[in-house]
Amino acid sequence: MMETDLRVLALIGYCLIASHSTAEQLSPQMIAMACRGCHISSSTQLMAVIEGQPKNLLINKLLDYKYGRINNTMMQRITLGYSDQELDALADYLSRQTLQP
Amino acid sequence: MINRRQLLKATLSAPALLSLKGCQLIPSKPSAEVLIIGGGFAGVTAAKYIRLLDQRIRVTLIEPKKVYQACPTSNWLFGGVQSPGATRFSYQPACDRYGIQMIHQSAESINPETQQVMLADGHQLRYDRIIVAPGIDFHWNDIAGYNRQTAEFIPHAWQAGSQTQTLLQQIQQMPNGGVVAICPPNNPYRCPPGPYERASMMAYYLKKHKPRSKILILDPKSRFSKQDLFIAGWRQHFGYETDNSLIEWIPIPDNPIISLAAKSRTVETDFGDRFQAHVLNIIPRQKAAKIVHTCGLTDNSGWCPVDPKSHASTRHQNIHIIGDAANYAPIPKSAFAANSEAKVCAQAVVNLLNDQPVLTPNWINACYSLITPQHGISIAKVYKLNQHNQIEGVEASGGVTSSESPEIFAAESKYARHWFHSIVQDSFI
Ligand SMILES: Cc1cc2nc3c(=O)[nH]c(=O)nc-3n(C[C@H](O)[C@H](O)[C@H](O)COP(=O)(O)OP(=O)(O)OC[C@H]3O[C@@H](n4cnc5c(N)ncnc54)[C@H](O)[C@@H]3O)c2cc1C
Ligand code: HEC
Repeated sequence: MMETDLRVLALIGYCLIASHSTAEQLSPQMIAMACRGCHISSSTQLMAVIEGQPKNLLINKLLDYKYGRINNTMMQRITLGYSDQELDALADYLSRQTLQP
Repeated sequence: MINRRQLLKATLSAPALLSLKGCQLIPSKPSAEVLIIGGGFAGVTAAKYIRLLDQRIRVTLIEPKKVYQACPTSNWLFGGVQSPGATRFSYQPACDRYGIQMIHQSAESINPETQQVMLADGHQLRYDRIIVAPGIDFHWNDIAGYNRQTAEFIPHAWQAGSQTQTLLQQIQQMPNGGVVAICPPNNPYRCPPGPYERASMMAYYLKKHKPRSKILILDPKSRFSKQDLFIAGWRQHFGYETDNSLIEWIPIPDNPIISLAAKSRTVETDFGDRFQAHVLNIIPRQKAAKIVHTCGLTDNSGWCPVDPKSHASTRHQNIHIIGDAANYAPIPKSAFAANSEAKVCAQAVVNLLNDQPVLTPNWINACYSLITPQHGISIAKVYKLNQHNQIEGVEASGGVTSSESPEIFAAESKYARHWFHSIVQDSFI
């Protein structure tokens, strides 16, 4: 009984978060365009080209930045602007792009 | 037969929107005509992204100059960190690559009723939608004795080009022990940290070559962008707040500069304080460029009000305004922001022309400044729309460089250089 309640609650919770985030969630292309201001040039390796990198690598990096798990100068300030769901969809989108300068 | 709308629906459902294929050709039977006024960071980025998003649209860019002179990194010239050639860009590569039609003329007026633009030579061009991105103009009546003519030898250097060169020569010819006075404008103006980065780069040069000199910043504001980081850097490198400080910041919010004696390079404030300088850099208060004032696109502030979702003018239909000329506050006026607004605008224009809903916008602004060649600092923020259709910085995001370690400042100085390559590539190449 207890277990079912929890599961139901979890399910309701999930639906709430999910519906909330679908209402608010930005299109990954919209976010990706904004990232390009820093990430489009391969003239140096400093701000790497992010299009076409594997999704797992991207999402791990983005969440590590967001939650301060790896040192960085800029990316925590950027990733804190987005929900985890937005970053996940973004990583997925970016992994399917080839760089179009 | 497939009608236009069905055809559009079919093409739009394809997921890969950003595709270079077929971009080079200017469409001879376009689905729509988009005109863009102004080939700066805002206008060229918008032209490029519309072509990347929908190749059936004909994009015509109207800009009198053949070569664009970028302001970002122009302050670095004073510190010997940048060469003039590296801030000049031709429009040709972007036009060839993305199939943008270029007209090297000034737009004289826009007629929102007939949806036409009149060019300097009298030709009229019709548009379905127009993006206006002409940058800034100056208020010339604030300071008696200061005008367009005096600005040729008392340069503002706030639109990169010959005035930046004049100011550079004046600094190089100034005697050791000379005084430089920088007079920044009141908010809002393009590049809020710009005057302080300029002071830093000049101080870096003077410290090496003319160490007895002094830079006065006569500021109508009592706070400025990245203030704590600039001041910490000035303390570290330029003896700030000591007797020998190369930089002195003098806030005069209640005592503005009201007149100039151009011959003696002396400015006088409301209370009669006088400051004489060997090199005088007056940066006048700003407003949107002339063209938008001729067709009622501005409000009392002197800037263009826009609907932040579609980037469309709130004054006239089918006109969008981006870059420094428009009011996107709290997003500051920067090249980064102009580029970001341009991409959101391009997506909105393409969707509107295809009878599709406009996507929820998202912007990023970031701005790097150099205090010395190895000491970089930055400010950044992510912006979204709130429930009231207003632009709002995401609370948790952004802020300034959070560390005080020399390694981080050194890293940021490298990122600053890389950022410039990146923003230029995303806008002009
Ligand atoms: C010293 C300095 C340093 C800066 N540093 C930075 C920085 O580090 N980072 C940053 O992000 N930003 C920086 N900026 C700000 C940046 O330069 C501007 O925000 C940016 O240029 C705005 O782009 P824009 O396209 O709106 O306007 P602009 O770049 O001014 O372009 C407008 C264009 O429109 C054209 N035009 C005007 N009227 C007409 C007409 N009637 N018909 C046709 N064409 C017309 C003009 O010729 C011009 O080419 C700096 C600015 C200065 C002054
Ligand atoms: C103002 C410039 C700037 C913007 C805007 C920016 N980044 Fe970054 N990015 C950096 C810097 C600098 C680094 C190096 C890590 C650091 O110091 O923050 C980096 C690193 C990364 C990396 C790691 C790359 C690698 O291969 O190691 C990824 C992934 C990334 N950014 C994704 C993004 C995404 C996604 C966005 C848009 C939401 C974005 N960035 C926006 C500056 C930027």
